[in-house]
Amino acid sequence: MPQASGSRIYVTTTYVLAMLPPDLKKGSAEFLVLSLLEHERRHGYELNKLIESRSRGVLTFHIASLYPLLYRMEDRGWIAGRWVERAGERRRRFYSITAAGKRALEDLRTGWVAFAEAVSRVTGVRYG
Amino acid sequence: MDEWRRHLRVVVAAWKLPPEDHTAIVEELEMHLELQLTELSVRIGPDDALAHVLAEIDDPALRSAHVQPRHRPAPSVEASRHVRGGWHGLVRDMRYAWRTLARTPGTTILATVALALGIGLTTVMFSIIYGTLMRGLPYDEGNRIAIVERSAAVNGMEETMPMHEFLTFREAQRSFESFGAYLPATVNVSGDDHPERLSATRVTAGAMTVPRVRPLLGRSIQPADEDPASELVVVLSFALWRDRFSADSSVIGQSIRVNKLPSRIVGVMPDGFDFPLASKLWLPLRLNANLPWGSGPSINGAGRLHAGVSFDQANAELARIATRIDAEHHRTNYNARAIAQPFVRAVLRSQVYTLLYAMFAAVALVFLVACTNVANLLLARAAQRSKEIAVRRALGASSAAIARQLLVEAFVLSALAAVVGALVARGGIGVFRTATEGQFPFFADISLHPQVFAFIALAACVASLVSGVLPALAGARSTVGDVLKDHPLGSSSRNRGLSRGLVVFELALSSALLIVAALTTKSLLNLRAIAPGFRTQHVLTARVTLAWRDSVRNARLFERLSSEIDHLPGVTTAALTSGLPGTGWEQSPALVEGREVPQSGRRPIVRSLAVTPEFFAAFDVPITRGRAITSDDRRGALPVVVVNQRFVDDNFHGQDPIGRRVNLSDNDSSADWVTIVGVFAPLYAASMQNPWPAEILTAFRQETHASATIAIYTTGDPGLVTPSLRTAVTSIDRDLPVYSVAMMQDVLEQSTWPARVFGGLFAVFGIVALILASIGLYAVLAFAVRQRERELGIRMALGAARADIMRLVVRDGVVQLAVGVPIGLMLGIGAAGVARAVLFGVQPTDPASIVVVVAVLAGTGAVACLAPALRATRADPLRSLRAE
Repeated sequence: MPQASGSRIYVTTTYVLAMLPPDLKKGSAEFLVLSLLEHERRHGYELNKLIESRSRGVLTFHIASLYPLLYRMEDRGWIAGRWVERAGERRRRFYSITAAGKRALEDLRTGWVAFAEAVSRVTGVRYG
Repeated sequence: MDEWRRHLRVVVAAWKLPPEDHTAIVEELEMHLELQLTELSVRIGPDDALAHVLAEIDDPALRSAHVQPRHRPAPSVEASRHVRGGWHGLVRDMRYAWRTLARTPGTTILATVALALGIGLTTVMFSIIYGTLMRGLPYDEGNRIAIVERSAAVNGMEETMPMHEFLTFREAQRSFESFGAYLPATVNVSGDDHPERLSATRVTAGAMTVPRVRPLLGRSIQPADEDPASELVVVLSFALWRDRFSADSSVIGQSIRVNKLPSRIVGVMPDGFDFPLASKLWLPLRLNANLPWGSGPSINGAGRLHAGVSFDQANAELARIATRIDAEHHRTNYNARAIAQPFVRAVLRSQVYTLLYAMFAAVALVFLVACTNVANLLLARAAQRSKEIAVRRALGASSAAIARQLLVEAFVLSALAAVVGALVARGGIGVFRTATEGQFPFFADISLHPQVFAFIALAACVASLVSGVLPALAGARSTVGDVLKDHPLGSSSRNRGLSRGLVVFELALSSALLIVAALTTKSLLNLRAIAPGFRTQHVLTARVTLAWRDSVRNARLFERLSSEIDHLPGVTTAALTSGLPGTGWEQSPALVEGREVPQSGRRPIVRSLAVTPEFFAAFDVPITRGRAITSDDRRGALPVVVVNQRFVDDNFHGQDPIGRRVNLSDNDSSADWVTIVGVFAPLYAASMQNPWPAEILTAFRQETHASATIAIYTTGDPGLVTPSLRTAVTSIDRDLPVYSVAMMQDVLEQSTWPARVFGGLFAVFGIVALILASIGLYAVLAFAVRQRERELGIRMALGAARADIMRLVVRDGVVQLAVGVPIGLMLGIGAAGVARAVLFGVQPTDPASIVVVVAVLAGTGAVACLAPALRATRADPLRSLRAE
């Protein structure tokens, strides 16, 4: 069950995003994906694992939200998917960030910093 | 299949995506879930892990997720790199194409050979056309050099120009910077112990300046040499200078005898100079303007247009001058016009143009057949590779990238074929040059010019486009879904229709070529099989021309010559004639006494030869009625003639011709009445158009001749007689050369070279086209059977007999043959009408040839159909079903 504990948001891995306001969730999901693809191409499962591990289990995605999100981003031209085959493995679809994706990432980053600063100024909650 | 996988498919199906998106997304999600399952199984056990995964799939959010079909054309990384990758992309495509081609060496070699033959043959034909018609004269700005002739009032045929007309044109014209006259001649050259009969050209000084070539030594013909009072001079060709004078530069100023007249050598032209005709020497053409109008020789004009003056402008000026000539000389209804034509155009008459371009059209068809063939092979292979293409599409390759890849493959193949084709062309040109040695005008240079290589490159590009476009389009159209839902070979059913169409096209072209090839081959056989009606083996022929103008003296000389030769060792019989049977006929009007001159005013024309009595024995010509010409038929006796059966048939309609009189003049002149004393069997006239015309033989000794052809029948090798013949002639007159020494059978062969060479070429084209079309038909049918293996297997499993299966497969091929062949036959018969010049004794609609062509095609088609059909009956139903 989700519980609030001080300044930390604790959620079970499954339902965390449901708790976040829809706009915030949407914006942050794309932000997360773009950040993880900024320097390296990754496949869907890897993205999910990274989000989960780097958020120490706080953030995680279902396939129901992750893949439609990836396809939308692909449609928008922010990321590009490509099937890659390696010897002895089944092929996987890797995603990499496009030039448009990099510009979007910059915008999101700026917006997020401004937003987080605004929130902390108002709420007095500090990250760190 | 695992339950969760099935479940996943159902859920994703709710997104209603195009099949290729559906497949790709399912694959991606499966991958994700598999990894998740593996990881969770370790952590929480397989059952819980599976429950977890199923819960993920069952998440209503997944079912209701809104996923758009993928963008198309997908600007994916690979595709965009393919399209924009420029040089690197192209190099990679070429490397890939090379690997693909190397994987199927059989197809690759077949396609390369087919294309190489197509390119090679087309190149041979192009180099012939380029070397003769397009390259022009090998002189500075040769395209401005013109031949000026008179265009006949009656039929527009070019003819020589009366001297005074030429002089008036030369005086008045302003279009040409140099303008002159020439006359071909053959002259006896002597001066040492070695008399020769040589081709010469009499030229005015103007004609020699037209090509802008400076003499190698001394000077050329100058205006002063044209004065009848001046010293006789001669300019030597390089070849004559080298061969007769050992390239001695002190030859200038020396004297030689030309037609017994001493002439001073004033110059030597450089190697390769042949203007306006191939000549061994040039003599001044002396035109005496003081002669009355209308007398003097008729000559040919040659000129070089001023820069910037077109042929049309020059002709307009010549027409104005001609009108003035008509007015000044009060001529009406004369209408003769001088016309200036580009040199090559004037020398090679329109028949040569027609023939060469007809040949080019034929060879272009062979080329097209080859391209179609390769297109078919590539199409078949593209279909086999449809899985691979589907994978590449799934990987994000766009239609453009796929099409480009397939085009690059065709290009690599064409490049390979171009290299082999260039070798084929080299060999072909060599064979052609040997076969036509000395037959083309001096300016023709049929070899591998740089332009020919450019043509090969162009042909390769055309080949890669023609053979690559259809497979490329087919490949680009195929989608991932096609492959997955349709059939193991995906979009190939569409390709099959396409390749069937190609085969029909190919069959039509091949039948067209084959019918032409069959007709020309039959012509060749007819030519070979012809019994000429006279002896051709063991007969040596040669020619002498006397320089004297005294006919009595000439007659005496010929008498001596005749008896001298008769006594040479090895000689059985020797005849003197005005020409050779087969080739050397003269034309003569011949009107039988009592018959009216036709209303057209044109008297019947017959071929005539003047012969000595020995002619009949030397050539073994039998007399069928009356008598032959005898030694009593000499000057002062009754003028006689023997005629052939055709002449009798044409003129006497069953009446006895012996004793009837014939007039051999244009105007019933009393001097030209001859009496028929005998009839001989027809002699072949070596004419493709009219091989058995009406012929007459007159008595050589009753006429005046300056030249004679010597025909010697020998028991042994006729070649051995040549030296003693030369000695005998020189002993009579040391200035008298013996020339045109040849064996009779060679003379006859020589007369049929266009039929042999061009007919032979047509035959080669036809056979190559047949081979290519057979390969095409076989490849397509074999491919179709491979595709239908499963269907055929099921049919057999359901009880279809082998015969049914055979019929099913063969029917496919028969339909293609039935559509393609008739179209081709009609095309071919039309083409043969154009190429009539090389046909002999056969009509374009010759039923036997048509039957042969249909039989050959049906036979080839049967083999091409039966092999795949047999293969089909061996198809194992279980195996093909399991494969599915």
